[in-house]
Order: sequence, then structure tokens, then C-alpha cells
Amino acid sequence: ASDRAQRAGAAEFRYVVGGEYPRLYASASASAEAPASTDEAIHITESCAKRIQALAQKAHKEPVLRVKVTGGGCSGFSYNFLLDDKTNADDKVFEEHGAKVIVDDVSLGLVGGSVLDFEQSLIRSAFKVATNPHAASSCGCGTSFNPK
Amino acid sequence: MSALTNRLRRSLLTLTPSATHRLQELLAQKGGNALGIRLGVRSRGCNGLTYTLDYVDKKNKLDEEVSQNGVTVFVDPKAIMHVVGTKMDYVEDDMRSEFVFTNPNAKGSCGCGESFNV
Repeated sequence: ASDRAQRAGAAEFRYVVGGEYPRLYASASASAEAPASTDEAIHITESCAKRIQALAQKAHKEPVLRVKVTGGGCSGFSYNFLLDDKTNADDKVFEEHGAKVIVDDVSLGLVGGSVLDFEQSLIRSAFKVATNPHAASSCGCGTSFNPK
Repeated sequence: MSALTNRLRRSLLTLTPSATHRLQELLAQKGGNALGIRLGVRSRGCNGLTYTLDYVDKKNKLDEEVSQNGVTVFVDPKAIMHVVGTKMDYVEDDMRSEFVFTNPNAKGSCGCGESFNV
């Protein structure tokens, strides 16, 4: 997931992960319309599930991670992660490898179909939305993106 | 090593206590098989350059060595001009933990700090 080359402020972004072709930055409208994608579930990798469990154990909570999309970051929208075992009426819950991820309705329109990973390398370890079918491009570190 | 080169070497890169602590941890994970960690730069990210860290098995001839509290960071010769004077820190919270670089050469950087330009 590192084969990305972008320049902030430039009109063009390239997003190779997920097999996307170069695309022009058009508008960053917060439309929550469901796109043509068939699978809108969030998938959790094993390393992500393990990390959620470890965090939950430390905080004496249920292994539930909330993923929220908010405005901000150099590509328009950014991902936020929070350990949260309370669900609201507009939340969808996804479970895999013994950990749960909850996403509210509006955020799901922007991250549905993504794979959630916990990336570990020498330089950083962090939760990461690995492949987001709704993102036209994303920031180098992957914390922010601009939607299609 | 003369006092002058010593001082120059110190100012090439400074490590905060949390950064040295993390580097010690990373080297311990390798079971003492690595001489240290190499800091380099690579073209990537939305601001042109990004930092890279790798284990070092063998010192390259032109690597600059920065040693602090028993850990050695080798600075790649190609990176020296981009990182001279940089402070390397390590921050950690529940959701992410990462090395953070305060680089006086950077004219701009990415929102998350992953990439920069000089």
C-alpha cells in the first residue's frame, strides 16, 4: 500500500491502491450516496482485530472500534479511530476475527467496502483504512482522502 | 574524533529520550543482530519526500553515525543535506505510534507530517 505518489495542492492525484486509475480532483462534496459498489461491509484484518482486542483489554472495554470520517487533512476528509463500545441508532456493526468495528451511517457512505488494517513498520504503527473504494486519492500516510 | 566533528555530528540529528527508548526496543526485537537503524529519505507522499527507517547490518562507507544512549542511527549520505539539524522524536497513543521529525530544512510538510519538502 505504499505505491502512491501525490503532490498536495496539485490538481492531479494518483491512487494506485485498489487499482484506481489517475483521476482529477473534482469536488470534495460530502455526498453520502451509496455508490455502485456491491460490498459495503467493512473488513477487518487479523492484525487490526488483535490490536483492537489489546486496546480493549487495556481499557477494560469491549473490543469495538469506531471509525468516523470527518472533514480535514490535506485531502479533504480524514479517518478517525476511537475505542467505543456504545452504539447509536444510525450505527452499523461489523465483526471479524473477534473484533467489532462500528461505523455511523454517514461515515459508512464514505468508507463502505474498505479494509481496516493495523499497519506496523519501523517508523510507525497505526490503524489504517487500507483500500477504500470511495476514495479517489489519499494522502501519503493514508489518514486523509478525497472521495469520488 | 576531534571535538569539532563531535559537535557537528551531534547537530546532524538529535534524538529525544522517547526516540532512543523506542530505537532500543526495535533493536532488541532484532536480538542484537542489527548495528543500528538507518535514516534515509525517499521521494514519496504528498509533499515530495518522506523519511525511511531500516535496520542496519553493515555500515556503508559514507553513512554518518549518530550515537546517543547506546543506540546508533546511521544517516544515509543522500539524506544528510535534507535532515541536518533534525530532531527525531517518538510519540505514542492508543491509535497510533510513530517517529516524528522536526526538520529545520523543511519548507512545508504534509498534514500528518509523513512527507515534507525542502
